[in-house]
Amino acid sequence: MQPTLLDTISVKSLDNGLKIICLKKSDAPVVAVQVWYKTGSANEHKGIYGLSHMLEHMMFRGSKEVASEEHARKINDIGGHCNAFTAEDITAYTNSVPKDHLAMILDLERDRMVNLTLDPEIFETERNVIIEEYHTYMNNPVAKAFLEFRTVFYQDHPYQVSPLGVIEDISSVTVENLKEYYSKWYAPNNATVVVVGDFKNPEQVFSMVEERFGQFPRQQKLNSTQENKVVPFYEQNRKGVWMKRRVNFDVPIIITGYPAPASGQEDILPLDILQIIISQGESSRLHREVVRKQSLAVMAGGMNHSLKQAGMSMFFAVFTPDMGYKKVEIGLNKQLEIIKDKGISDDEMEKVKNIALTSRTFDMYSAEHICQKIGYAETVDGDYQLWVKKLEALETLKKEQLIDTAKKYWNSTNRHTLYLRPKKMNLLLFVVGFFRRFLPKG
Amino acid sequence: MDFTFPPMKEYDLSNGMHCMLIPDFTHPIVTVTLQIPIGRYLDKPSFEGTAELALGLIQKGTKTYSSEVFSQKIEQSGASLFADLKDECLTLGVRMLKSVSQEIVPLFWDMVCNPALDEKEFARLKKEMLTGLNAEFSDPSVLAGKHFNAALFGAEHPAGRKHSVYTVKNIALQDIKDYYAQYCTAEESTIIVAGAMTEEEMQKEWESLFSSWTKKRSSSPAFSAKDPVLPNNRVRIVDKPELSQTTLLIGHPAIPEMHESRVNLALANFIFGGGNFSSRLMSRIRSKIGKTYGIVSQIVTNKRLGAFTVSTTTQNSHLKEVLFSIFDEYREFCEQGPTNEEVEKAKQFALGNMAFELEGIPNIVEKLLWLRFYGRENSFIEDYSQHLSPITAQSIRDALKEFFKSDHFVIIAVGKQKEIEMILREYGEVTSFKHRENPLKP
Repeated sequence: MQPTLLDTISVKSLDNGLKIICLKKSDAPVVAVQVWYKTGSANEHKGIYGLSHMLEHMMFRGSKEVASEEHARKINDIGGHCNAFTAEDITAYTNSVPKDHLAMILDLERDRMVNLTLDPEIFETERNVIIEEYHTYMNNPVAKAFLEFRTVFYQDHPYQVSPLGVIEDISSVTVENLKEYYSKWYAPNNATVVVVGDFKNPEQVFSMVEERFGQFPRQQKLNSTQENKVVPFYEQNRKGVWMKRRVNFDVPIIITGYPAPASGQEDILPLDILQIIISQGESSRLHREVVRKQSLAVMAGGMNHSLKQAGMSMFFAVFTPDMGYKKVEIGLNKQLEIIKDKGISDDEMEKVKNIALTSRTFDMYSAEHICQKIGYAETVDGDYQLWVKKLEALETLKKEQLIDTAKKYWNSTNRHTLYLRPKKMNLLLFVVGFFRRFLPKG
Repeated sequence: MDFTFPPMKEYDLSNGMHCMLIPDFTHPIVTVTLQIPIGRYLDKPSFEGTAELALGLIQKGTKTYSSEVFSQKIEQSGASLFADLKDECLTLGVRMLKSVSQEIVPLFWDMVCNPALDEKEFARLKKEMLTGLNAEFSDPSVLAGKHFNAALFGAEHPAGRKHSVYTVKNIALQDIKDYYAQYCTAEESTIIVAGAMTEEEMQKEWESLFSSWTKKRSSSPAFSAKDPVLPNNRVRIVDKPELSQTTLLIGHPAIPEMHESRVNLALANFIFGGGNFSSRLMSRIRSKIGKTYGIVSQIVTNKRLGAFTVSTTTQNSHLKEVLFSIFDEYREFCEQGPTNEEVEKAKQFALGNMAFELEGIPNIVEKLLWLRFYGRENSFIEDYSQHLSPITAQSIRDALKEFFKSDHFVIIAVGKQKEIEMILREYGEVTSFKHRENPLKP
């Protein structure tokens, strides 16, 4: 019998709680190593918003055995690359190197897991870098407006602030704040090491990781405080909010968001499948109906933002200024209602299965990509096996389940809407949009 | 470290198209990629965007299938089209599971040979492109790029004329039909079929299909261009009063891709600003003084010309220091050249990174098309270490002396004119533009 993909993934947990997941892939002489910490901006509060991201920056700024920025330089010197990202629930460190350098990467990651320097002078320089990053983001008018939308959507929850944080806190966070956070959350029992690539065998990887990380103690405080559970938004009976913002952007946009379940929950798969049907590709409902048949928008789509404690199922339409926003908004929302009322076709079910299978197969070309999928499934969804099992579950998913899921979450009473209106009318776009109305539809 | 391309078969078809077959059974995937040596440079003056629209419109249905039916058939099977347009070549391709290749490859080929080029689809696509171009007015980095090309290469050279709302509005469907009829033919094109198929299968099933495409072009793909006049420290400000940061794009003419000094300058660029945290610019301006989130230099090349660029963003209040640091570092680098240690590290990076550039069939196909476009043998990659070995600190110094000319800089700054103009005046006479103004205005 052929081994399944799951059979090729090996897993081990060390006594100190560190989890190691590896997958051997020998079609290119490279290896990807990622360390995923189960902490992010969800563990922040007023006064330290942005701290997780700031610490992520400082993780490249020196540890006991590695000088400031030597981590990145050493990897560059051998032709590899490294990066990191902070999200609401996780902070991940990614490295990809030619296969002979696995030991070096593990050494680098080991040192910064427990021996971070956090030099105050370097921190002040890095704070300036982060402030620059913050300004780059805030100079994007759409991104800036979306932050405000998010604050309203996730009100009273740490998710209301993006992982980038707020400028007041970025400017005032201290080294002491960083140290406290680092010692609490950066610990073997809060981390997963994922290794994918051309290594000898999983036992070799386990032994290399254990040799380097095995002696670090567990962080005892973690168990009692780790998860600040909230009642899911869709069970809270919260009323939707309608917002309009005038922005320095030349094109009007409507964004809608519906409270959605937390990642890893049963309803996530049907909601993701619904999202493909409604918004992915030119044969999707939104493109076919809203863009092509009704010519309401130039572009329309959507995505699910799945986080550990809550989520948002969101949709958008980009349109020309001659088109009244109300018409666009109604057209966008109507497509969701049609799915709830009239269901899904067999062709659409077949399409999503084929898309999911093709997409997963293409993921297999890149060690870094596989690493990322496994790391995400393990630390955000709660189980690395979900990366594989979601595809299997799709085989048995029924159309009725999809319709029930749509009815459960795409509820007009808790829909949040953001209309981004350009500050200045764009005459050319107005004219183009106006005359296009007289072309035949279809 | 040496690299070897997987076994492949190459031959010319009866219509002049070069065919490459790469059997690879790692995953049940097939990719077909077509490269035609025509690109943006063939756009007529004031009609820039023709190639871009043509590439989009080709994908909107065939003479047999409407756009809607065509996209439905492709997406239903989980396949996906991809396309890319450069100055001198365009790429069209399709990736799919092996199991659907019998159905999808003929469909793809019908699209290439018999696109519908339909009036309604054209109107829709043009509107979509105009909306996208209008949205770009809010993106400082896109604005900087368009102004940079206009200032460096001028309106008399196609490299200086980028498509914009001012040119796309002039394009009619007949322009697209003419472009397709004149240039989109098998002659000098290359097709690569890679993936889970044997050579025999590929030849038997698709060789006659691929051979059926029109052989000859009705006219040769030539364009008229005066040699760009070397600029003399031209400074442009694109005024965006709402921005707290300035986006900078600085550069000067460089060498074309096939120039004998290309590898020398590639390593020089890595050391100066291309090598991420290993680069001098990143080290000085981000790591030491924290005045930017990122700074990168590049040498952008094609068959005919090249440009050296430095790009970054910084708060308006830091602009003076950042500009001084960039030019000071540039002057010192050109005068003294790199150290031997820097050169050795840059070589190690170039060699090590090749493992990633060749990871997986999609990357291998991309690299093969690149080699073929420039008329290079596969051995250029396979023996890459031999191209690097003669490079020394002295050879880089010589190349810098010859090709890095500080008196031909162009400086583009997108930001709040009122706050940054005085600083920029120190670097030459300043020309100002409103952000929606045509970069090619006299």
